[in-house]
Amino acid sequence: MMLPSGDLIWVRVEAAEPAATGGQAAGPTDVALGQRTGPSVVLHLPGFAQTVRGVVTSVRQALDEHRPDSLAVEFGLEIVMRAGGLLSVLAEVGATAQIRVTASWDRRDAATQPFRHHESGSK
Amino acid sequence: MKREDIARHLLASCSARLDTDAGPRGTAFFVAPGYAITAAHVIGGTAGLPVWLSEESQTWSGHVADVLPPLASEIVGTSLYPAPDIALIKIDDGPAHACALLAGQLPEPGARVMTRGHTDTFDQQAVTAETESFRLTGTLETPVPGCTLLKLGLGEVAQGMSGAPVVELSSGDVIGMLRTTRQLGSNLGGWVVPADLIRTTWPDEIGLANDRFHQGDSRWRDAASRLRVRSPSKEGTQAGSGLSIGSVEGDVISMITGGTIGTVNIEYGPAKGRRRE
Repeated sequence: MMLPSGDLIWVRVEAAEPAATGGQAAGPTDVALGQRTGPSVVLHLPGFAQTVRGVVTSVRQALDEHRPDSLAVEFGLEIVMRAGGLLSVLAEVGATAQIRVTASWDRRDAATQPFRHHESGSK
Repeated sequence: MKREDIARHLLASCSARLDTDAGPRGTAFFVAPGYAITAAHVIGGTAGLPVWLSEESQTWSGHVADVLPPLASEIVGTSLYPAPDIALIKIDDGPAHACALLAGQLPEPGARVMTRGHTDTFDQQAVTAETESFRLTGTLETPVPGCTLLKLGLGEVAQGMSGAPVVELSSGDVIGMLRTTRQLGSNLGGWVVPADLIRTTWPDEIGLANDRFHQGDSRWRDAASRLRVRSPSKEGTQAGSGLSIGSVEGDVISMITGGTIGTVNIEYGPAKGRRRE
């Protein structure tokens, strides 16, 4: 898969589990090992940078008035291949999405202990 | 030697695991000297792709010489590769190999067949050879003119069997190439690209070359001839003093549930009503 920077990365892809069939694909299915898309086919990931930038910007804006000295944001990305070859990147998927924000202040007048705030959210 | 054992040996002599630089992808089988075929979706529909075939200690390297149809952006991500879903592999390096005897005509409805593919059924971290037997249950027309697939039932098509040869147990002919399961995790069987379509798609590389190979090498036909010999146990039943009115054989429970629960075999023998279940 090609990132917007031009770097190529390998992505391990698992088939989505249809809820109605208990994880088994319903109906006829081709039975190669792995995914159909060949190794020589490069899939582009156009939404990657925008998604990362959007999450980071949102967190910074949320904490802007508190002006932390350092800010760490951890979040998961899910890459979804849809029919027609469309790739999308989702930062919040179902009920499992989690964004972990760690903000800290080292100014003496702010706090004696680093403030740690965990935020979990889903859509 | 049992009929199934002979078929298993024939299948093992012509089939191989297929790898690309991304790892194991499925199965291929030799159809002519220097040529093998597999399903197009196994190699991502990509002509020119380097591939490696392996069977026990033997390995072959080659490349995808032709694909039908080639990969197009609109079919990426859809559930099924378009018909006929076949790819021709040119062997560039490797030892001599046997070739499957491609059938010249369609098998009879209800024919018993066997396949052998390279699957991850036993352990998803390892790929091993797996056989399965089926019944020919029908045909399926596709939107592609002249491309009618064969339908198999009463057996499970496992992940990795794409590209595997399917041999008819009564003749030893390879009737086609397995490409699709009708339902994963069931014994509903799958779809097969007929041998005749493979022959006519590449008439020189496969059609003529397959005939020429078996004209000069009789080993496959010799082994297959043993499939036509009636087994002693069956002969004894038929030659007994009683009247045999036939047999019922099949996975009866699975026809109802779609899953494998058990097998029922019933034979009616001599006059005293001997019955075995």
